[in-house]
Amino acid sequence: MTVKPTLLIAKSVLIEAVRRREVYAVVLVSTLLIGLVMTVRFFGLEGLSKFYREIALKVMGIATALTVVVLASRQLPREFETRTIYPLLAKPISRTGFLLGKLLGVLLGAGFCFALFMAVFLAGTWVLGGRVPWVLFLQHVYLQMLMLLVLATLCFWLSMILHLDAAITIGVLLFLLAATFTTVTSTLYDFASPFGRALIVGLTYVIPQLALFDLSEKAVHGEAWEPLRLPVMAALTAYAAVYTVIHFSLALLSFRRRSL
Amino acid sequence: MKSSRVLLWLAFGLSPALVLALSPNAYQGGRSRSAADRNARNSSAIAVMLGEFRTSMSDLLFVKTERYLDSGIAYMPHIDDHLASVQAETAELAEHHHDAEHGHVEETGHVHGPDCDHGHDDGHADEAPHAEGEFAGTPTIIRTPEDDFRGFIGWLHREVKPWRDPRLGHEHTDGTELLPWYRMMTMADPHNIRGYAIGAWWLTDHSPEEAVRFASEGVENNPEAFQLHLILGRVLYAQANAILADTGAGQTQIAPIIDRAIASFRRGAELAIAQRPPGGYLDPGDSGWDESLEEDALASARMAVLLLENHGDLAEARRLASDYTQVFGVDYVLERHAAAPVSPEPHH
Repeated sequence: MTVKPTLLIAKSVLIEAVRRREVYAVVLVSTLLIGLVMTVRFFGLEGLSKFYREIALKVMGIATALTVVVLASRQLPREFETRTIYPLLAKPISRTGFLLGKLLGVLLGAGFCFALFMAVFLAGTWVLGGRVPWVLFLQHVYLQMLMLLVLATLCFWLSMILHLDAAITIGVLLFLLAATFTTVTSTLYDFASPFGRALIVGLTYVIPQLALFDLSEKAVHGEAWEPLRLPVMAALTAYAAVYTVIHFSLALLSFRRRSL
Repeated sequence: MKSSRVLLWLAFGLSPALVLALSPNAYQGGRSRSAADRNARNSSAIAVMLGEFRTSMSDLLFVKTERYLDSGIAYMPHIDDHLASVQAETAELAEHHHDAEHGHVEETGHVHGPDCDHGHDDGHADEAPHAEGEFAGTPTIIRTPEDDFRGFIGWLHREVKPWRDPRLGHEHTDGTELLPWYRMMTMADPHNIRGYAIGAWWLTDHSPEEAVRFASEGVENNPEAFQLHLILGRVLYAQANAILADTGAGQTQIAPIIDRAIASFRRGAELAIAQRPPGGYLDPGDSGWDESLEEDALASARMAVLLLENHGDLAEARRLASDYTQVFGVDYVLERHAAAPVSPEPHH
């Protein structure tokens, strides 16, 4: 497998993501929302930054995830639909390389989107006079990128086995309901029958627990919490890697089986 | 087919009239209300459906303030009857910030008597704020390692999210960062009484003027909520004390504020007495009058009497104490003042 064609595909995805106005629209709308939060005066008090940090991180997280879901879900079906897959695969590139290129491009697009947001976030925090807990904040950014990686590979797979709209819908729901799912299953466990409990345990491990990649609460209350220890970061990286490999393999399997 | 369409359009056109006939038209539910209030108002299905989102949002924001107070840790709700009262909750906050003077009118308005029982609090107000072990045992939403079926995932969950062993006491943060959430929750639901009351009390430390403004807004939006008259009286009293301390002003300069505070306490007590069932919380009937409401009602009555006494109107203080004693029955503070008001001794 040669690396250059894979990088070229990644570059084309990134260029497409950057050129498409929808990324800027998402960033602009989110930035306006965040700007609105900044303008609200709370009883004339200065230095209230936690409220801003919380809202901003949530808005940024949601906006970036939605962008990635749409971007990742569209990659493969559109290639088939517009028949651009044929000239691409005629080049000296394997399907694995092709898919890796697409994944890398989506992640670079997500990184671009996230970087725009982070600039807005840091500027806002600076204007409000708040303090950024840097280590926790950078850990949060890293974990969010891991979450986007899991989400992107999942959307690749879903887009290969489902209709595009269904893939986007499921991807969005999985992301939006991640925290709720984690809490609800944990609560329901006490009330479930033995079969129900086994099902809950199974689902807990089958469905990626995206809430585990959200460090925003600790980043907001940064003065009270230490940064995550290295073993925890390593475990989270391994956890994301497992799901990424599984989703990517399933997507590749479906892609290989797909007749051209 | 055609006639059914006409009927459908007709029904659609008349639907506003159907809604107009429903009572009440405003849903007022949620945790921020008393049980009686919720029961009385939530008899309309439409009101429930239309109002649920707004009130739920406001209540969710209230939960958010609790999490902010605990540095983001999600504890199971632990509001019992005592803690549900505006009096108890703001007294908690005051213990957090102030050294209170035992046996006097505190800035919280709480008066310790021989029968004073804080339930969760074994100490007195003038002990160290939030000693280790307070609220210990309140379960967290995230399970403890011994109780978690999720193994590795449970461990990660506890590491990533704010979590603390529930066997340890709560460590409360400075409440300043909570204030935006109180503003948001009262914007989402202007009938969130607890939001106004506790938000105003937190504000007192930072800006008594803003606290008075916020409490007044609460009273304006909820004129029948006696708890808000209680809190308005208390923030006015705190404002007067702040002026005395900061500017060295005399009693005559703060007299208008004190008069306003007394009027607010008296109004709160009047409203509470009108709403209170004759048997109080021990025999509430269908009223939903519980211990928290009783505590707030008593606090309004006591504060009116104590402030009148402290500011020289002994005769009126005694008369009021006597009237309130007849309503509330056995109460150490009211009985003491009804029988023999002490010498005027302005409290700063």
